[in-house]
Amino acid sequence: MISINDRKFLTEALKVSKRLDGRSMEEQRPMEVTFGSQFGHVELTMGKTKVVVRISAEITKPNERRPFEGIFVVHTDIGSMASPIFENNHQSEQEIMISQVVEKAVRRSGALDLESLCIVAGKKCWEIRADVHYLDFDGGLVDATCAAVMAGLYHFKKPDVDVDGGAVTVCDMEERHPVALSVLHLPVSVTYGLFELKNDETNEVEKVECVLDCTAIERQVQNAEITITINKNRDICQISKPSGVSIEGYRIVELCEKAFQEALKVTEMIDKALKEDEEMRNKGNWKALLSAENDRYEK
Amino acid sequence: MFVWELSDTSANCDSFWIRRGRLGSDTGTLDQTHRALLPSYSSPLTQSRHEIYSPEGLRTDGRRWNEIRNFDCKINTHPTSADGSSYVEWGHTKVVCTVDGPREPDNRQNTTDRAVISVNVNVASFSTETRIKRQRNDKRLAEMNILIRQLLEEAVLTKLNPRTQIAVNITVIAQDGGLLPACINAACLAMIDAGVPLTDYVSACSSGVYSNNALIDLNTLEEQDVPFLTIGVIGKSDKISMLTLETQLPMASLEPVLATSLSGAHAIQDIMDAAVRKHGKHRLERK
Amino acid sequence: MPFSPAEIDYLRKSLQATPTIRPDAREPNQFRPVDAAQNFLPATNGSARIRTSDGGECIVGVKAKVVKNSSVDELIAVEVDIDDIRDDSPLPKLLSAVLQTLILSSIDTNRLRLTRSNYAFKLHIDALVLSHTSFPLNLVSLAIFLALKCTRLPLLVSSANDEEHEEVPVFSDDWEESLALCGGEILANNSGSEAISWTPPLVFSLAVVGNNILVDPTHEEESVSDLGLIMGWCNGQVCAPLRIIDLASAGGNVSPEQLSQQQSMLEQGIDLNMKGTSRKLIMKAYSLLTNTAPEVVAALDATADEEDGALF
Repeated sequence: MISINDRKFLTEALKVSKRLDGRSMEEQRPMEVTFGSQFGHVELTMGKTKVVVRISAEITKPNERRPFEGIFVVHTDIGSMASPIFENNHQSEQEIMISQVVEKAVRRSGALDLESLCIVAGKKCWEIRADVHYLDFDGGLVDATCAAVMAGLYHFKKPDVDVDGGAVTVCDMEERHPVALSVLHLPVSVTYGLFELKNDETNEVEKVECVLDCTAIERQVQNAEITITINKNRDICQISKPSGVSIEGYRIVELCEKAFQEALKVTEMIDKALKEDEEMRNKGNWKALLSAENDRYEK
Repeated sequence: MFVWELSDTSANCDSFWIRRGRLGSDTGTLDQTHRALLPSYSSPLTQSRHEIYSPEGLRTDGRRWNEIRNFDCKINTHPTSADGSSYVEWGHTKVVCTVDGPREPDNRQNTTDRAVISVNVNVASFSTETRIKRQRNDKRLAEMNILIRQLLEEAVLTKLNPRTQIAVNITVIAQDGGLLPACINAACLAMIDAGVPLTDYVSACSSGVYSNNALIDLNTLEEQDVPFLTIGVIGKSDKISMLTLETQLPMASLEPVLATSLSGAHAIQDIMDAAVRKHGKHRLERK
Repeated sequence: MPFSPAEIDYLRKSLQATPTIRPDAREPNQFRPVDAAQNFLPATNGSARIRTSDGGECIVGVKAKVVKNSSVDELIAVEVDIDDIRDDSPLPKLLSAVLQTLILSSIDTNRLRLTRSNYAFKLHIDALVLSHTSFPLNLVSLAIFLALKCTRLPLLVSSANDEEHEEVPVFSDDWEESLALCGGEILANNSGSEAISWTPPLVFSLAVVGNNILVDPTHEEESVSDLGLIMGWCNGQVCAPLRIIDLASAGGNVSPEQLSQQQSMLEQGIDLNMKGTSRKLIMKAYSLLTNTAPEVVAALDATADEEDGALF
């Protein structure tokens, strides 16, 4: 819900390239990642948007059609805790689109190596489940979810397993060091809102402005949205532009280039946060003490 | 030509489907001359490895990189049971579309100042090579419904019919790649037949890239192997209204792929226009 | 679409008259013209489409799957999918059940057998009703008949005798060598018996109004009918299933509110509009069908023999 006054104010401000929160048109809200004490527990805030991701692992039977691969599911359930516009247990259109984009970005892009999750071909494999909880909604849900899930996958460690013939023994986390997941690349989602700025008198469209990372208020005024998921190897993992205002092909290519720059920043941010968390867990340098590696080998 | 394939790779083959190989090719070039069917097409599994794009520039069904499959469309195929209807055969993908409306809406909540469009895509279990029983809460179908609906809302002058509903029912009876573009094209034709006011033709086309070669209009085999995207455009503009990409595409290939699919979508509009005019002429002459 | 009391009265009076007067001036044993097309889906083993003059349309696809005898119960599976109606509601389930029992009981499963003990074909018959105004049973049955008539199964080239060692079936690459499901050759090949051809069964729904039986009832005739009779036709005679249904509501002519109202009335023990029928009327229906059904089969056979391929 937005009043006509608010809408006009926003569009007039965009015409002179100003946004409500003072950011530039190409500035994304800074993301902050904090890890919980358990592996795979991630809290990500992006401005006012808050997202919590928990990664868990379970041993199960693999899909009949793919006996050499594990299973990876992403579960996003947006409830009214995030915002009153969402309903609990009801799949509104917006939720379907968000969960589909997240699934394409994180699951179908092959970020997680599924073959590494196989334990006994055709019989046992790991099922990695990412549960995303939305605590607060202020736009940018897809971007936040994607970054949080990827950070969680990098952070998570699954228990080590011993395979003896057909029997699988799961080792305790205390006895044997848990094993990190095999993540192949880091897809980062970037969402642009498209605004049709019209001349007030003639009601003709002057230009279409692309604004990075819209907040909830900006989302209500936008005419269309485009979500680009890209990784630091310049691979576009997915693009989703449901209809609304049309833009030329070359502008989409430009947006991808800008999205690539953003992806580099987010990748760096996640790497940094992971390193800090690693150092904190490694206080006292116990890993070096417990390691059986010989000093002879230079690192 | 006949091949059988295992439906699952389990060690004990309890059950498997048989696939009829395709005879001949089904191409249409961008300047609308249709190629003759190639008589000696050998199905992919009898060759050691099918080539998506051979060194001579031929694809699995004998097309070149810039040739779309045969696009055959008819409108007003269901004169009694629907307000507007169309039938699209794009290569081996066959789609029937009916439009009912503008009519009394199912719920009046959100229709005060404009018409509400509802889209329902029904995929038959026998439409694919392997029979797949349709799931009821299939999110992919729900997403397709939303994409088609939003694209149509962009082109339809909904403000001219407030407090009404336009129901679009798309039934897919055969699939061979290019499902979303075929549905969109069929929906546009059916809307025209129903007399719903549109700003311009709505068309869609898919295209992908294989080792630096852009390929237009992919069939199932190509869609499984090659990253591809689908665009939807309104009118013959260079502006893209809808874009979906679900597979990994290197950024350098984005521009040629977009350009290829744009030209494909424009070519489709010409074919649709010809079919609509033919039908119009037929109706005028019938009196 | 609800009717006014005047319309209902007019329809009932004219249909109950002797001889019966139908709104479209048909004889009680006269079917409406249908538009049929077949074999237009190359991805299926057999396909057909029927369009009736009141706008009903049904597309049927038959697909054959090679299965191991041990892992399946029945070799025929029929599924009817009606647009706009959920798969688990009573109408599609009724149609699927009726058609499946009918076809299973009339076909000789030797036609589907591949090897002596292990492998056979399982036929998945999927009917998609795109639109319907009256009870869709006639529509679906005619479409399935045509689809089965044009169904072809690939020719087995590996050994059919696998009692000693099991062998995965291998088929000929040439579609020209495929065998028609309804033909004689397939039976002769598989079981060594005579080459008899098979005519798929049909099932009809008849409307009973007063003392009159009407074949191929329209939506109006169904809503004023006392009840409906479902009768099967197989091998030149009337066969099971034989059921009595409430045509007025079963055709989906009733809105959900009316349906739930009927449910609550049934629970309270109040009778609905459906009246019982006498033995005489059932016998009358039997003889009507015995006289008319062969012509229907002959007409369908003639359609099936024509050239096929295009849908429109």
